[in-house]
Amino acid sequence: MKLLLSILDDRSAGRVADALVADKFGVTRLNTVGGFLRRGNATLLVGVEEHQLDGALGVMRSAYGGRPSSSDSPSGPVFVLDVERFERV
Amino acid sequence: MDRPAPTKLVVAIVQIEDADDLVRKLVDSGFGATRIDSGGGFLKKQNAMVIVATVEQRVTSVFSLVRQTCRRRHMTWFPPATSGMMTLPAAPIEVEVGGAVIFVVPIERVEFLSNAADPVVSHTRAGENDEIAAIHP
Repeated sequence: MKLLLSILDDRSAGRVADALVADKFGVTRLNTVGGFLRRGNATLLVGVEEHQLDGALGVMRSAYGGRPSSSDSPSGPVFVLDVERFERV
Repeated sequence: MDRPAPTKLVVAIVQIEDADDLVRKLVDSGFGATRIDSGGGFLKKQNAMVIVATVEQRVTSVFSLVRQTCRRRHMTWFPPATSGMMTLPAAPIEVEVGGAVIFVVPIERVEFLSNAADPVVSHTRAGENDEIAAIHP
């Protein structure tokens, strides 16, 4: 089990979350504020089984799309965290 | 700019009164910080999560900044002391404030949803990508 933690701008987060839900991934969205410039961000948490990881990342990449960028820096970070234990109660 | 990939996610749960100060200090020190306001289970007191992705060598700096801004401390609170027609000085009260809980979680890998080599390039509002870049150490 992996936990994906992604910090995206508000609009991208909406598209990506919707795409994940459409593909039957569970998503939790936390509205956050970035430390720099303080404009609206959102953090997405997605729990996926290891065999679904590449599929989930693919869905997210397509929904994120080619975000217009005036620089070469990559955007839309997704941190892949290992989950030691998962329980649904 | 080539930055080493972050390998540790530091999650600090701090008192809401300390969150602004902590985020500002983290950003001033070159860390990207994301703040999520949240609520505690005990007394339902509002707190804040501050998340920083960084490299192992810089985790101690993050801890140090959290200690500087969020340590448990006492402060003197002067309760308002007016009652009816008379104003009586009320004894000041020592209250304990602050405190923080910090988790460090290993980052297995980092993916970016954008493709840096993406040929689609256009103008954006100034500083728009600075915000994303600020997330990386």
